[in-house]
Amino acid sequence: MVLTHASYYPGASHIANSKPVQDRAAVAQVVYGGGRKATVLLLADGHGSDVHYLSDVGAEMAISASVEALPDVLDILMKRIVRGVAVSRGVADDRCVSEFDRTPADPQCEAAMRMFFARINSLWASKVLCDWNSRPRMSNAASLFGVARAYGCTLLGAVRAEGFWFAFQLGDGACVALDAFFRPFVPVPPDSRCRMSQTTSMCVHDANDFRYAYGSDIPAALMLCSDGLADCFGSPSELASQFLAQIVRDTYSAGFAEVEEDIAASLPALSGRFTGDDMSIALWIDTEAFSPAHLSAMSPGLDRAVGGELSSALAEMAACEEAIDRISRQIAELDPGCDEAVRKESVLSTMYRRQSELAGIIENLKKDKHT
Amino acid sequence: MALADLRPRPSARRRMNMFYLLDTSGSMRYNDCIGSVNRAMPEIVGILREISDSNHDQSDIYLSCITFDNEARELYDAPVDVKDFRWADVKAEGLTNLKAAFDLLEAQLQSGAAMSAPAGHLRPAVLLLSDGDPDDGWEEALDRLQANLWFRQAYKIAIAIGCKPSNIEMCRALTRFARPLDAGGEPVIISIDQLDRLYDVIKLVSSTVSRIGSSNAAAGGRSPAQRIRDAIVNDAGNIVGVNIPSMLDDGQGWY
Repeated sequence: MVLTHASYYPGASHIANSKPVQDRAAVAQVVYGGGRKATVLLLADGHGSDVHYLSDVGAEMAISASVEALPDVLDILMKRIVRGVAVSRGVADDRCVSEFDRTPADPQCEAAMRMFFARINSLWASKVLCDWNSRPRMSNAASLFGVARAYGCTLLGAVRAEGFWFAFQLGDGACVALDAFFRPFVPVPPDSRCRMSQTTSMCVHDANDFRYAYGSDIPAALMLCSDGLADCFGSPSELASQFLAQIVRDTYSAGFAEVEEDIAASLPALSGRFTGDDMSIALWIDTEAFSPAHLSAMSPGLDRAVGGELSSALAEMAACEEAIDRISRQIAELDPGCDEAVRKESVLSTMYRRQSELAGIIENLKKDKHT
Repeated sequence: MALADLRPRPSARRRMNMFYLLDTSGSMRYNDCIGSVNRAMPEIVGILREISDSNHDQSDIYLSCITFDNEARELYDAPVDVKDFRWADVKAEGLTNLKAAFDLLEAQLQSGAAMSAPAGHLRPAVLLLSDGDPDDGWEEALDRLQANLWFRQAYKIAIAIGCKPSNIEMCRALTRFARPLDAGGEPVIISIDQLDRLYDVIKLVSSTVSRIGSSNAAAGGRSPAQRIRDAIVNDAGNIVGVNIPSMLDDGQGWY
């Protein structure tokens, strides 16, 4: 059975600033290829600032535009994706700002994908104009900043079709997955323009700025989320190996209804403690993909994930302790209270603070590993 | 285990790095400019601590200081959490080796160096304060710095102290430095004619940049870079003896 879930929650800073929730997430079903059905996860994150003051509406439109555009591209993909194919393609070559963004060209479906994204852009723009024209004429934002910017948002999607899957993304947020062997992976390549609270957007960027992935082996579990949730974790891999893996594990141990309740309680809590941003999530879990043999591999899988993080925390701790030792020795050689000693003591205080944080992290990771 | 318990880790706080590039050449002794720096910095720390503690976006503010005279040096061995930061006075002597300061900043703006917080970084801010024409070589160093992705994204503010029409090279250097690049908005340059106002300007700029830059939330329909500029123009413009100059069309200076 394939379980799906989509939900969104206002962020702590949005609540503090009396702003509406500007994320949207949905699960839809799309018919293609003469009656075949595909399950679709969609998620859009409306930009937070006041210039994007209709971005919650823009986010809904991005989702509905995707649903409308999907059948045509699925018709093409079903004919072209053959068994064993797995493609991961970032932004078009002319949009790469560093080698980090560059991915191999996709000879099979690149043109069809870019057409699909152009269609989403076009449908979204059409919906934006229609909505704008239906509103009372205002003399503020449109003339100053342009209509499209008012509706600006990101867009992420993932599709489970018959015999294949694909995912796409414009802007920040994350698409992460687990394979049938419980191994975490991040299907859609990154875009280095999406960093430090900056993102590509439906209101500025076009088909060549989308990234995508597709293949014949459908991920056993896949999750989309906005940056509000993704940024609570150090990396997308960590998001997959901790958060999504925990959801799958809880689904088997406690049931999906309880997991959905946990999501509803936990996402606002995480927002309050970490990013302050709106939170949204959409996911599927194929309970049959994880066979009993794979389920028994879940704990080792988690152990490996925790083990990896533990190793890096221990390495950082060793570097931190080495720096503390070095700076302490330097201070001992200085006249007490001299300018240089004062500066080094500042650095030392920050190092001790980090050492204390790392000790807590390591303790938690060791507990996780044993449970 | 509840999902909310998965990451109860302080490391998930994002970090905003503020870099101060402070001119400590001999001319900074004139009118006790270096004294203004030494008096302003301890007060800034208190203000920044309050900002860091109160922001909803859970980001920490870290400070780094690079001084430059005959050579450049990092005053602190690593970026310091503003909660731990203690200022120790700097002295002024020597030339104005801005090139070395740019090179040192470029080395710091690397993922393995100052920009290595596990939970990621907000855009850094770089405040450059200088009172004289830089020595040769700064342009090539600035070219290298401007290719750095972190620097391109950074909020950049230049404070010119006692700049005269004859200080053509200083004017060019600070104008080029302050170009927003990927941060957007317009350059932020503050020209101080009444040197006793330096103390007020350092405090104003530091608190404005950290308050807006360490928060995700935007307001007033403007980007953070533009909000920083607007706030500084509004507040600094009201200080007697402080000017916010306009850029020349060729981008090579201001008037």
